[in-house]
Amino acid sequence: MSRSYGSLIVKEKKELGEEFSSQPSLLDLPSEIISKIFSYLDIRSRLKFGVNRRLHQIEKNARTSLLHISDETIAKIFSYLDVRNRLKFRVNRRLNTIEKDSKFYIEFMIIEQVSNTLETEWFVYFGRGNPMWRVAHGYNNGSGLLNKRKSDSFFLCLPRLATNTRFRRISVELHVIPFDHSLVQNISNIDADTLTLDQGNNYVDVLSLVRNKKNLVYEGWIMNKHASANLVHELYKMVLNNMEALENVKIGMHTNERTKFLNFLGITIDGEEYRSSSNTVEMFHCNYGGIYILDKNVRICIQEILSDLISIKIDRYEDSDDMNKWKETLEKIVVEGNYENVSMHSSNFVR
Amino acid sequence: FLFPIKMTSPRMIKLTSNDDKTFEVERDVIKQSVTVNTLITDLNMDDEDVSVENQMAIPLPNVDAATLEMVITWCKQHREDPPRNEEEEEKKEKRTDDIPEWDKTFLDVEQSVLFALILAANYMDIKGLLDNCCKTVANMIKGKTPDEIRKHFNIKNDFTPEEEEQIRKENAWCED
Repeated sequence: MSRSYGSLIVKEKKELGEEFSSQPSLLDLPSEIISKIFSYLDIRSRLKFGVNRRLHQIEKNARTSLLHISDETIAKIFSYLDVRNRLKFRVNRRLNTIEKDSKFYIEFMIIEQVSNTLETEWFVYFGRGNPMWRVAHGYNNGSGLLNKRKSDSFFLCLPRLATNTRFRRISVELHVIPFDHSLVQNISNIDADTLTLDQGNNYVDVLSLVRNKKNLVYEGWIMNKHASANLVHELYKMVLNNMEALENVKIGMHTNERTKFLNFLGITIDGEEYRSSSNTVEMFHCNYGGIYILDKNVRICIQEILSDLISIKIDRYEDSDDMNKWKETLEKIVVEGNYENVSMHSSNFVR
Repeated sequence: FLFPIKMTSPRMIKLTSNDDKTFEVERDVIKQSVTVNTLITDLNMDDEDVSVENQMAIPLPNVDAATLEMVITWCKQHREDPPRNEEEEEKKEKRTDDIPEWDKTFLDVEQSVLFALILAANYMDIKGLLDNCCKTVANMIKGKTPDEIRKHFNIKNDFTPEEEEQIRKENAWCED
């Protein structure tokens, strides 16, 4: 035992160029014993004790370091980092595993195709507050703008974000057709309260992307990309049948597509008159001009934006009491004395 | 008429570090430590009839004297802090630019002292101190490359070449 310690000391001392003295001293002890002595000292005494290179090195190695901290606390440190710094902090296996297994929350993420070619650049932004602040956060000076190489790298990270990060809102703007379906798949796996979609998203992609999202805001109408009646009907069925997480949809469509969509629900529009043969459908007029259609636990709000453009909001009520409270706040218009076979004239809506 | 005024001195609690140093601290100050608070309650140490001299010291086997002294200083500084709504805080995206100035100066210490404080804050369950220490470490990480982080915190790269290549590819978009 002493021989092995002795040889260890000789090796250490030779490396450090130290001479042996004839008297046994503290420095004749192996580093692990000296390290144990250090462990009984408070930090100030330990620092004073590092009086030569060897002792200083032993003391340095014995100090409490980041890796002495529990996984749970390291996860807390990760939680204070933005996505970029979080990924860069995966500097060894343990930290990589802690990052992978932790849960993070980010206010919003914007993924936007910037150019209209396949060799496109992407704008990616993570942040808090109002997404419109992105302009103030460097949209114009190019930070957050990823070239092909960097965007490929970013998309490699998306599966990771899908497993460990929840977003309050993600905004996706895809312009180039055909879409990269693995990208759509990766975005669809991301857990977000609200998904905002802009122009250019086709029917299949919208239905895929709303997975794991509570709210959908489809802003395609801003760029004259209106939702089809079929798409809105599919989304309506997702909300009605409690499929996936989807609870609310806000979408823009042409008036003729609205008519088709309402036809799917058994509602017809004859001039300005709404008719329904369904026993479960109720209709209400709200004092600010919207028309509300209630079908079981789903509420559809239709509002005119422009002469040929309307906005539809679809939301689900989990609690019938909430629905009843909401009904009480509205003026109920009953035409022909029968709720169940609703027929309403728009002229009657005016208070 | 003169009435005798009863001077009520603050209730004191004794804490012992792992190197056998005993500290007396006001009950009102140390209540920020959930661990100590629970022990005081469980051991019925809030009994006002027991003087501090006769009181049992609470052992803190995971905290050395120097660190415990710092923890007590922090608790004294933050004794008036309003209670935290942790549920609300957990729902928010976290930030590191809200460390109070006093804490910034207090936590501007050698790394091993900061990590000893983190271990102590975690063990003693002092949320405010733990949060501000973690924010301080997060601020040290921000803006550094992985190699700079390794150097700064003395962390060995133990990835296999394949793992490192994967991480490097994933991190490429994070480079400035």
